[in-house]
Parts: sequence; C-alpha cells; structure tokens
Amino acid sequence: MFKKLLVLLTVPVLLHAQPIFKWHSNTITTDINGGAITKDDTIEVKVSVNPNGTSVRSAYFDFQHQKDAIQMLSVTRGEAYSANAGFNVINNYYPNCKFNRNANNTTNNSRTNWNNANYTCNSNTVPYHAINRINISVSDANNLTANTYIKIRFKITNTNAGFPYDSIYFNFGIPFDASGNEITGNTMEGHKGVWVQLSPNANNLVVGEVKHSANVSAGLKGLMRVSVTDTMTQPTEVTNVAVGGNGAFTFAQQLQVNTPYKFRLSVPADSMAALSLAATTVSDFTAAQQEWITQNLDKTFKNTNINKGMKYWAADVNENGEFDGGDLQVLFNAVTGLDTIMTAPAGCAANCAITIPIFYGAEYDNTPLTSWNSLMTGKVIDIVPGPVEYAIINLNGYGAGQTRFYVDMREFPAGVAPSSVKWMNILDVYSGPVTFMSNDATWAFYKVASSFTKATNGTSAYNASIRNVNNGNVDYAISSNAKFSVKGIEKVHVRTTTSEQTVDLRYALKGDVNLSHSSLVTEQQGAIYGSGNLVVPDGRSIDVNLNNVVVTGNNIAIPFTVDTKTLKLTGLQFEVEYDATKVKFEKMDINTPSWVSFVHPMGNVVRFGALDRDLKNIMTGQNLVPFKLHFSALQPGVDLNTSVKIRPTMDAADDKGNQVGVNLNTTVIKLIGANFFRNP
Amino acid sequence: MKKLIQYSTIVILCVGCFDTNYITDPKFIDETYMGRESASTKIVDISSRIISDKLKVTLDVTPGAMYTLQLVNIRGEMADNHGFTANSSTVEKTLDYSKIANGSYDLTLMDTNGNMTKVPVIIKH
Repeated sequence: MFKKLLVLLTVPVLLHAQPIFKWHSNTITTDINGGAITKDDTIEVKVSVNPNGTSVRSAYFDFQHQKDAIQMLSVTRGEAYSANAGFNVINNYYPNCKFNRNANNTTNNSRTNWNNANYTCNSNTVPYHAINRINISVSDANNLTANTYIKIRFKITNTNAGFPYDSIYFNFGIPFDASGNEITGNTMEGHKGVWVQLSPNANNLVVGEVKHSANVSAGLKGLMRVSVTDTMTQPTEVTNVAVGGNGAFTFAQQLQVNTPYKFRLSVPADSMAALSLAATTVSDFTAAQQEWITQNLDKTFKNTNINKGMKYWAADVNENGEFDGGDLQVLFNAVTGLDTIMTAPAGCAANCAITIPIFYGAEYDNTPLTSWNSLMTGKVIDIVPGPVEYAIINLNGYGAGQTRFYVDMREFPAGVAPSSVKWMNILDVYSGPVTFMSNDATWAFYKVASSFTKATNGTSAYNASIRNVNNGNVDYAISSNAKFSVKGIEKVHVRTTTSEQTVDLRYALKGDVNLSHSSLVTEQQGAIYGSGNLVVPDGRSIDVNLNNVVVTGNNIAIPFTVDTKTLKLTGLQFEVEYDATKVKFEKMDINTPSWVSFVHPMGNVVRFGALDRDLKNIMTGQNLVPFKLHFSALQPGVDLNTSVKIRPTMDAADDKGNQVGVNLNTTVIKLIGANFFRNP
Repeated sequence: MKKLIQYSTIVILCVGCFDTNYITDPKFIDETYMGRESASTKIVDISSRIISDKLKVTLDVTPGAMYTLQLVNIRGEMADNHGFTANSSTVEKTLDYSKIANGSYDLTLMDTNGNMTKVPVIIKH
C-alpha cells in the first residue's frame, strides 16, 4: 500500500518536469560596455535556462524585434553548458513580420504558443518589425546547469529622433532532450518582452525649456504642464508633460516626425487668480502711469518705464490692442484687489487647467515697442516641404543680415492679405517674426532678420527641398507648400523634424507690466525673490523692519517700519496672512503723504498698500511707519500664540514709477501672549 | 421745598462721587507688568544639539527682565514653553524634553520687546 502511494505521488512529478527558458531581465539599460544606451550602441540580451532535472539540450526559438532600429547581430553560446560542448545556430529571418499577440499565444507553454502563433507579414503595414526563428543545437555529455543558454546581440541603429521603439519579444522556445525528443509543458516563464531603455536624451524630437519667473511659487511651477495638441480646429491632445521647477521638458516617441503641433502651457485653474493678483502690484501701476503721463504730443511713448514690447502687451489689460488710459484704471483696480485681471472661466476650478499666454523666446525678447499687437494677432505661415518651389530665400535682399523672403501669391487663400502675415515657421531653418514689405501679382515679399545659415550650409533636415539657385549662394528656392493659421497667444506652433530640436518658451501675464511674475526677458528686466525679499536687478531697495509682538491685551498692533535709504517712494504694497481662528483683522492705520491707500481683506489674507497717482508726493527717510495693522484676539490675548506671515506679494515703486527692491528682516511676526513669559 | 432740598442734596452727593480727573484724563493701570526692559537676549550655549531628554541651556539676559524659552517644531507649532524672569545676567536652565516627540525643532529665546534668538535642536529618544 505504501509503495503504491509513493508511486502515485511520484509519477506526476516525473511526467511534468520540464526545462524553463526566460529572459535574464525584462529591461536593459546599459550597452555591452556598461554605459547608457545611445543610438549606434550594441546591447546584449540573455536567455536563461533552468534544466529542472531534465536532459534538455537543444531548443527552437521564435523572437521578434525591430528590424531596422534594433538589428540582430549574433547569437552566441551561454554558460549553461561546457565551453567545449557542441554548439550550432541556424537562423531564419522574416523581415516585416509581426507576431500577433493574444491570450492564447502568450502563455508559459511554448507548444501552446507555437500552435496558436499568428503572424502578419507586410512591408506596408508592418514596416518596423521582424521575426527570427533560431534553432540552437547543443551536444554535451553532461546535463545543463541553471545559467545563460544563449546571448543575443543587437545594434541600436541611428534612427530618426522620436522613433517608436518596441520591446524584443520571446514568443516561444521548444526544448528538446539529449535524445531529440520534444519536452512539452510550461517551458517559458516571466515577461515575454525585453525593453531597451535608451539614455533619456537619446531619442528626443523636442528638447525644451519654459523659462520660469523666479517669483512664481515652487508649488505652482510644479503644476505647470506643456500640453501638445494636433493642429485641427478642434484639437486633440497628443501628450503633455510637467515642466517642474527648472522648466525643462522633452518629447520623444510621443510625437511623430515631420508633423506640426501646437504647444500650450497650462496651470491649474484655481491658481490663476492668485497668480494674477500676485503679479499685478503697485509698481506695475506706477510704471504704466508714468509712461502714460509722459507720452509725447504725437501719442507716442518715451518707452522709459515700459521698455519692451512684451511689457506693452502686458499693460494692455483692457485688451483693445493698444496701451491707453483705460488700462490704468483696470490696473489700479487690480492692484487694490478690487478686480482680478486673469481668472479662470466659470465652471473651471478644481481639476481644471487653463492655458496662459506662451511665446517663443526670440519673439518674447524682440516684440517691437510699437506694432506688438499685430504680431500677436497676425497670421502665421508654415513653409513645409512640397512639390513646387513656392518660396525663395534671397540672402541680404534688404541689406546685410536682412533676408528677402518670397512667398508665391498662389499659396495665399482667398481673403488672406499678405500684409496680415507676421510670423513664419520655415522648414527647420527659421521660426520667428517677419515684416511684410510689398507684393506684386506673383510674389509677396517679407523682410526676415536672419541669415538662414541652416538652409545654406546643408545641415537642414530638409536639404533635399532646398536648391541653391545657379549655385550662386544668394537665392535658395524651397520646394514647398504654405500653410496658414492665426498666431494667437495661447499656443506656439512647433513642427517636428527627424532630429532633435530645441524649443525656448516663455510665458507672460496680463497686468504684469514689469514682468515680475512672467518669464524673464533676456536682459532680466523682471524682479526675483530671494529669502522672502523682493530683489530687483539693479539692486536698489528699501528696508522694512517687523518686530514680534508680546500681547498684553486683546488689541494687537503691528507697525511696518520703513527705511527708504536714498530712495523716494511713491508706492508700497504688502500682503499678510494670519490664523483667522485666533485673531481678527480690524483696521489699518495709514501714514503716507497724500497717497491713495487700499486695504482689501480676503479671508485670512489682507492685501494692503498705498500709492501716489501723481508720482509727486514722495516718501523718504528712516523709521517711517506708513502702515500699522490692528488685530483683535479671539481668545485671551495673554494666552495667544500665533503669527502673522508676510506673503511673497510685495512691491515698492520709486518716484519714476519703477519697481525697487524690498528687504524684510523677517517674514514671520510672532504674536506671543504675556503669560508665556511667566514662570510655569 | 422739602423735595427740592432732597433732590439738591442727592445731586450734590452724586456729583461729588465722580473723580473729574478720571473723566477728562483717564488713567489705565497696566496690570500686565512685563518686567524690566531687556538689554540682552542671547543663547550662549546649549549642552548638545542632539538630545534625548534633558537640555541644559546658558543664556545671556538682563536681570529683572522677562523671557520665554520656546521649543518650536518645523511647522511653527510650539511644543514646549518655559517663561521666566531673569535673576542674573547669566542664567542656566535645564529643560526636560523627555516627553517631546522625536524631531527637529528651534529653541527660541524671546524678550518682551519681541527680540528673539534661536538655535536648532534635534530630539532623538
């Protein structure tokens, strides 16, 4: 009886013993030299075997890989058998074939997978894949050990940027024992695919940066995302990525090569109003005010306080396409907190994102002082490869470094005037503003401040579409089509090529006249915060001293003591935050020289300040106390333990209306009840 | 006439009850005596930056002035308070933090003018 039981228990085990093949790992991150994988590197993947007590020797494998991007180089012996063992490889290669994977052919049973194998072979519909059927013959007097069975080397070829990589797949492996008999059962284990992880920047189509304002909080920077859509009228999002604190982002195989896209920058909708309020402060108003009141008799501006085209765009808060007196009132309302210039639309709050105005770096830096509006709202031409030479580059046609660019009039749709075009994306050789000069019946002529180096030195990815006319190195005809769109400010146009391209993006906020909370222009005209202070590039600043308060009663006064040093102030603004469960804001004492003051409580935040709308009644000196905040304790004051915090929104303006820095001795004012000083 | 005399007497007595100085120049008695003016608010030395229970701290203060020694966590919440009136210019205090949770804190010394100094302390039981 005992012997029968032993036989019954043992036989099933013997019947089902089988070797198991599997990938050594499911991701490979290094090349054969141990470095990060880049294109043109060679990698090695390994198939391991566990003989599992069998006499397995040979095997018949089916692998799938990408025929051009991941080319198979060799199959070599592993360490599971003697170095002197007989080893033979026979390979059959099936390009443009793909294993159609389903639940029935991706099991751990190789024979089942083989029986249910299904392939598509078509050079049009399967352009990237190939199958390799590999028969491995091993002859060894000894059984195999659990180790590497074969090593397969692949070359990662130098494909176009953004190539859509796929894993290397192990579809099945049929083992044979020393007598040549097939061993059935679950002879596969683990993941079926090996992912080849290229170095993060090895396959990028777009490497970009959103240049942040240092004044935008780290939390909000972390929530900003670049969203990529197609160019349809009703766009569909292709992908998006968080830009983080350093503003860097990349796109690789998420995008297609040689394809136009629109890039947008989004922020959470419930952050928009707070950002707008922080961005529009007293010096934005005083700068705009000063520029307005010192305008020339012919209605032009001196460009003293507003010295960048982007600043004029930001100052046009009533969005009528020009900077005018109406903007001052809107700005003033925003400074005082009565109104908010940029808000999310109704119904878009939590879990909703909105786009903020975004620009190319070159556009942002070089927006003209006078015709900034037409640039923002004008038409865009995308010059893309096409069958006919519809565009011509005429180097230096308008003087040194000023190219004359021709666009065939037949390319203009009905109703689109050549003069309405303010921006062009020309292949991969130029993206930026253009100036319409004239047109005749055949051509429209534009002045472009570029030497088109990439078009003339052969480095353009579209070199085949560019012809050096008569080899004269002056005129270059482009086989192309022209595509028209409206530029707008909510997106930028990006056209991918077959290689990595750099995208420099900036953002700006309406009402942020000094660009303190928008991207910096190249000359760093904006302001940055450091350690809770407001610092401006020219270093001029005032000191503000705040002291902790020992509370002996239920009324609490917090003076703001100012030393203007040598500066003459015409505006000053702060925001404080407090614990509304412990204290209540009552009022503010104001001691400024005939300034217009504002106090705007917003929940547990008070926005306050004052400014001189005439920029004549200056405040200057030491130990000045322009503001004194009064709170009352909501519990016995002598037992109070709380604090009032100075928020990053602060600002000061001089008698020219320009922003000056603010040095705070602390950003936290402690309110400590008298009882905390008594013996416990 | 009798009633007139009675009313006049009451009015005279009532008026005599008021301190006219109080009405025109009120004097509030500051019942919250906060000690002498502090001229020094310094933490001179602490026994260790990393402590498990007791912390000995040496202070440079003003005799007769009132102070508070507070242990504040990284969220700004007060974990412990010790108020005292200095009896000499150098004061040593031994503070028992054995029941304070592990963590990083600021030990702050503050006087009644709001002047404050602080040192970081790590409690690790």
